[in-house]
Amino acid sequence: MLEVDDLLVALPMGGQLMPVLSGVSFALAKGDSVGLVGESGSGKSMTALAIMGLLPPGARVGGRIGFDGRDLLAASEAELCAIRGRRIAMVFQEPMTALNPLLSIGAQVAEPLRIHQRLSRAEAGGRARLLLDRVGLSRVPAHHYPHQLSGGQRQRVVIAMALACGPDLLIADEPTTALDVTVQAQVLDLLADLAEETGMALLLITHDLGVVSETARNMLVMYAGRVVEQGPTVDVFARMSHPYTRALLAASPHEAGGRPLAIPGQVPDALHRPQGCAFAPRCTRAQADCTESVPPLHGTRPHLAACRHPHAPP
Amino acid sequence: MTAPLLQVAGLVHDYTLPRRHPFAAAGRLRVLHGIDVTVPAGGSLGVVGESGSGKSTLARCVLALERPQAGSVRLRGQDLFALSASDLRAARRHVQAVFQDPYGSLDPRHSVGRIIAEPVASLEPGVSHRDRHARVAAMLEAVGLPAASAYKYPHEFSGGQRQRIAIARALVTNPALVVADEPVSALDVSVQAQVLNLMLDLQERLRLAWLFISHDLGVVRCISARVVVLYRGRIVEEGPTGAVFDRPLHPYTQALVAAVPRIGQGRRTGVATTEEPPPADGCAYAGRCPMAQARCRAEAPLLRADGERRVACHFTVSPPPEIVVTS
Repeated sequence: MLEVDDLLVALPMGGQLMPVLSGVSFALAKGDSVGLVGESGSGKSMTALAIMGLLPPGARVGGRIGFDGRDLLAASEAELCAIRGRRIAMVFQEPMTALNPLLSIGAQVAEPLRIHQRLSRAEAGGRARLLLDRVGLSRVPAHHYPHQLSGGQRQRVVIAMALACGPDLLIADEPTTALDVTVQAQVLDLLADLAEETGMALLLITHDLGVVSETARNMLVMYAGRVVEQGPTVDVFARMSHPYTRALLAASPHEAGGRPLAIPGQVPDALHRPQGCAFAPRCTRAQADCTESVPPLHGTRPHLAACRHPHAPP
Repeated sequence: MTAPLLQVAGLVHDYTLPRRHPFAAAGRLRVLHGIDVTVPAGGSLGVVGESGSGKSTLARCVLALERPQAGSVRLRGQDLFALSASDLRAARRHVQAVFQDPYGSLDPRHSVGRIIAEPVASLEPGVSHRDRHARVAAMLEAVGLPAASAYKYPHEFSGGQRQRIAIARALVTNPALVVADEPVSALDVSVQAQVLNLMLDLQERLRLAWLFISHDLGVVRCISARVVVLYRGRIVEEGPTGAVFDRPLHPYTQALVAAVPRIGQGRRTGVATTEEPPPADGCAYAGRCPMAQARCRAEAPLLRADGERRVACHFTVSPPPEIVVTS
């Protein structure tokens, strides 16, 4: 249903166009789920914005984003407006900034129905109530305002808004980062249940490897605007090939306690990306040939990694 | 036995709610219901719980930023709330804070040198300008930032570097205890690991104690030797971090541990989503607890000690024995 093929995004920075995303390719079928992982600056959110057609002004794009046979990158703004919110919906990280503080939650959930399906106020209100019930807010009156809700409840309202028109694809950008673990578990369960029930596809952006492992069938690990490892989540965790994927896992404090292994240095920004493999300056396995050119993704499909000296052959 | 560095006993704190109309009596919301915790010198205590559990209020009381309605906070044997204003000011040298948001907690118009020197300037008035300078340089080195950073401004630094600056500011008065409220929640995993390692190094080198507040069990596990689990302003479980997370006794701790997404486990079985309001008397967790029985709704469980651990539940998996006092 969604096919991202060799996506390239360049943004004007310091007087020149700098590529912030290059060579990102993946496919997402109906009812399927894919997780994008990486640190800030790795290009996860930029990928989502490119799919939504919400890139900042001045951005140049290349490649293809196929959605039901149509190229979203070639679509007009009017065509995109008909798709956004109806066929493709998005949930953002910070529920407080995604909601309008001056509108009741019922009105906000009803808004996409009024716009896209031209329902009457009463019909849309009735559907909004059902949607709020579906996301587990049956005790919360629709005339409540966002400030009267907790963080987890607000995130559910945002999810209800995204689900209003029955989207085919839901993009969730760090949907649980601001939430407590117990609430996070509830929200992830809700997303997985919905995907199962409605056949909705899910693109999940997160920095938490545990969340990906639990929620996404396929995963992409991104670093400095490129995919460094991708494949079925089970395979990637069973045989992590790219040193960056391993470093991310070692840095996560979730396993067993003890000191986390920090990755020295930082993600280079688009203006200061090194020659060759962008991870080489921080990599413990880097050798001379790593800085010569960008290593291509290779391996036995569907598990691929972009590394000349991988831990295990993908 | 010497007194522990920090001893919090029977801490009760209420917030005043806004009046419903100008002549109504102000309502009160109790957020801490008698909290007892201790932190030994050079030790570390993690505080976990979900939002609204009172974690941050506990931190604010320990920092003497909030005055509790009852109970005491003793730092190095001194009751902070019995001190005169000037003595409290002197005591503040020994307890400093690191906050969650490294963007909001540093004044953007002050140079990093001025930010780090500020606690010295305000809490140790006798220190000369030159000594202050030297202390700032020493602190920058201790947190792994170049000495030239003192002349830069916060916007020139990344999130992880800003959190290092916040830690340098907290350590410049040589405190015995640092209260860190979600210090790494806003950071990326790799940077988070760098900051956590720095905190562990500083603890070893300076014999510093941390009171570490977080909702991330993994982070708490790697930094704190002991942990207390708060639920609605009460301690439900306490003990050595590894033991509490590996063998949680209280149903709430069990739910917390079960909710952490783990690699390679696939989907968890559903976490309880039903939430009845808690009973008026009785256990605060009874409304959510899968094991709740009639007794839980009628009688609040006491926090009972079992060796190194304490737990507040009528029906723990392995019920700790009551302490029998023999005469």
